[in-house]
Amino acid sequence: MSHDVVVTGIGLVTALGADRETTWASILAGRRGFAPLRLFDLPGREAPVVAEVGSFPRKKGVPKRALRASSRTDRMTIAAALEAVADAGLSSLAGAACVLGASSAGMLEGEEYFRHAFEEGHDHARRELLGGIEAASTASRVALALGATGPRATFTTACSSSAHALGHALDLVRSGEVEVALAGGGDGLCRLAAAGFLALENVSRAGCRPFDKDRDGMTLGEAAAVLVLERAGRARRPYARLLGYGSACEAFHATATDPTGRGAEDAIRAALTDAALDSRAVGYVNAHAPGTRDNDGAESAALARVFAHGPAVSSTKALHGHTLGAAGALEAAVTCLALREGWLPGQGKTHAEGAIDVVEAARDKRVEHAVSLSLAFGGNDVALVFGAAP
Amino acid sequence: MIVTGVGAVAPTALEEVRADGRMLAVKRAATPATIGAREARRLTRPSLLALAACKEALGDAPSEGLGIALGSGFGACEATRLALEGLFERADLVSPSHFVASVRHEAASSIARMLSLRGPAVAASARRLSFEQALGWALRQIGRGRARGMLVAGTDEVTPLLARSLARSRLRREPIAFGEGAGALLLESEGASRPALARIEGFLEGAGSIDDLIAAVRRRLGGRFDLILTDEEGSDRRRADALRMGEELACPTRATDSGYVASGGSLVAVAAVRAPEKRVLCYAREVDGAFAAYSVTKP
Amino acid sequence: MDLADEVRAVLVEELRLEDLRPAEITAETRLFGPEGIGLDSIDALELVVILKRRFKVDIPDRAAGERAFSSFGALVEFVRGARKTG
Repeated sequence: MSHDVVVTGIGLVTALGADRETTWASILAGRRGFAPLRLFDLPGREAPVVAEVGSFPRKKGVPKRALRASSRTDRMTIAAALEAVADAGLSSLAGAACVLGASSAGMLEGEEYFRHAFEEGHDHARRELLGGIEAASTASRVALALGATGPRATFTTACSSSAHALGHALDLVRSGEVEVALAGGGDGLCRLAAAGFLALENVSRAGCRPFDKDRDGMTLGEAAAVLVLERAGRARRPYARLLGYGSACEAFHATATDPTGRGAEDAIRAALTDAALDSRAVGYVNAHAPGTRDNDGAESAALARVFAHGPAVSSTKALHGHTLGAAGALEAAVTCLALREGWLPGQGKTHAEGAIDVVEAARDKRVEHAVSLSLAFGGNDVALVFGAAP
Repeated sequence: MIVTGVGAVAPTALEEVRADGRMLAVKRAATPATIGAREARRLTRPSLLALAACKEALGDAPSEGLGIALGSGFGACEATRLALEGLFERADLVSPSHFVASVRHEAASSIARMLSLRGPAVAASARRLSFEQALGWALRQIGRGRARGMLVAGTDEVTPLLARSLARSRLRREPIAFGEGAGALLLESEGASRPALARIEGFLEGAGSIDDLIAAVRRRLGGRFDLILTDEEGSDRRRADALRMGEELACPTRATDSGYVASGGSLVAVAAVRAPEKRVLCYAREVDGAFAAYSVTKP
Repeated sequence: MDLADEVRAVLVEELRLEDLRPAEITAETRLFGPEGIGLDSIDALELVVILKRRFKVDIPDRAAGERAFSSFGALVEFVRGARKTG
């Protein structure tokens, strides 16, 4: 027995806004949420331009146990989950699955622990700082905060983590194993990630310019994005239908992308097959395109091959940054909003390389189907296919 | 789904390690000699262990149409430690290679590269459910026809830093040995040409008490088994869980002897396939109530 | 130990090149690409950090980096020169 699956709730905490409506309004306005890093110092480095979250709501009524020794990533994601569930109008999540992607998790707090542990010894380091360090901490806390008592999973494939989470949740709801799933991911900035990407010389000086011929790297960001997936027919006005999930491994290099974009192509084709959809039906692609020299060219080539009819393409990383573990879910949420609102998000003025139709200013256009793409280090590639809700 | 190959690197050497003023028991695995020094230089220890287990499980089977699902509780601890050391010295002194190696799915990507696995690929991390979550995902990929087979593995390394941090945080009450190791299964859809070593019949996951898990097992897996296998018993809670499972399902229970290995569910899976008993129940339950169970039956 | 020996030892240790014998790394040895000891793009980035951390020298720009990394001998001379001025 197979059920159609729809997205009925979205919660967002991003550099563009501490909730869904503010974030979406900022995206439509083409606002870039970039500024020099303020959350922490990086001695030896100039503060890079990042997409940092401002303050975000600390909701009442969340069980203390969910928040005790929690990380910033945990709390951001709980906030997004609460917004998503309220948006979906659900009063009970009994039996609901909770599937998240995670990357840095609570490493920001962990860095403080380890610094003290290395310098003064573990017994002098505050134990609570490790409370959110594990990848699964967030899923555990979100489930507890919301009373989601169904299956749980945490995927940790860096930039494609929460795309996998959405795909897995699709399978759980589609098969009838669960009626409701919370799916998404959260990722807060930490020194290790910031310093690490700077060491890879992958970071843009002034802010990322996806697909642009003069692009000079990525803009690291942070965010939390949670979507509610349900069987169609249960809810009033869904954002979109989630139709397909495809994943492939490029098996090429630890960090570099195969210049032909082979992995991206395989993932997209797998997702289209899963959705039983022809590529020509896709009207919009929310690309991965972080703005690095290496990735964007390969991705552009793959998109041109798979979507020869030239659908509209944009990488909203130009606005909210590359949010690592949250990226897949955030960009899927943006894709769902685009489908429901009939507006394709733009990525700003772009001198694009390659033959793709890049959306610069937000475009007033209804499309029937859209694809969201996430391509991680090591060639872990995921594509999700969405369809407009009837 | 059928299991057509298994492989494992189990910990065997129990030793005492001094870590920051504490004596901790660790159980180490022998470093596999599967690949040469030059190929190995970028691989972390969890990758090396998992690669050896995956190669053994794959055997001489072709890799076309295969994907990989890898669970790891704590990932590349040593690479992370080295990256942090650089960071704490000065932010511009973080080692790029240690940073790349510390990325959580490094093992899955490296193995995919070395064994030419181009199908669906994922890494999962959820403490004692790391392997089980990877397994659940893999079963669904084959079930949906997205892959004809999957290598499903779990891997974790033990380091003084990990053991000391665990001893400091939630596990400080449990006087157990911290282990390391990797296990792998080659799973294929029914009708695959290679002979089935075993069949995975039913896979369930959820959250709740041990009684919720037992009820789910009865409802979804039938409740009659020749053996119940679980990960190393260690803590009071896990011992109580195992006792209850054995009593309620009227079945002998055994635990693997690997010490505390977060992704030790992979060693349980391999042990279940290799065990002579015909119908084996494997299960795991985490401290937050999340659980998973599946049945391994022999042809 | 002269500077070349020191640089060689650091490279072998930090880049985990224990499979190479010291005699295989001479002044003429190419560092990158298939003709030499086969280092790759991540090694190049690693070298920048190694030079900072172990020898306290910085690569001022891309061109200087390309010259310094062209061979083992060039690398040693770069470190020697940078230490004098630094």
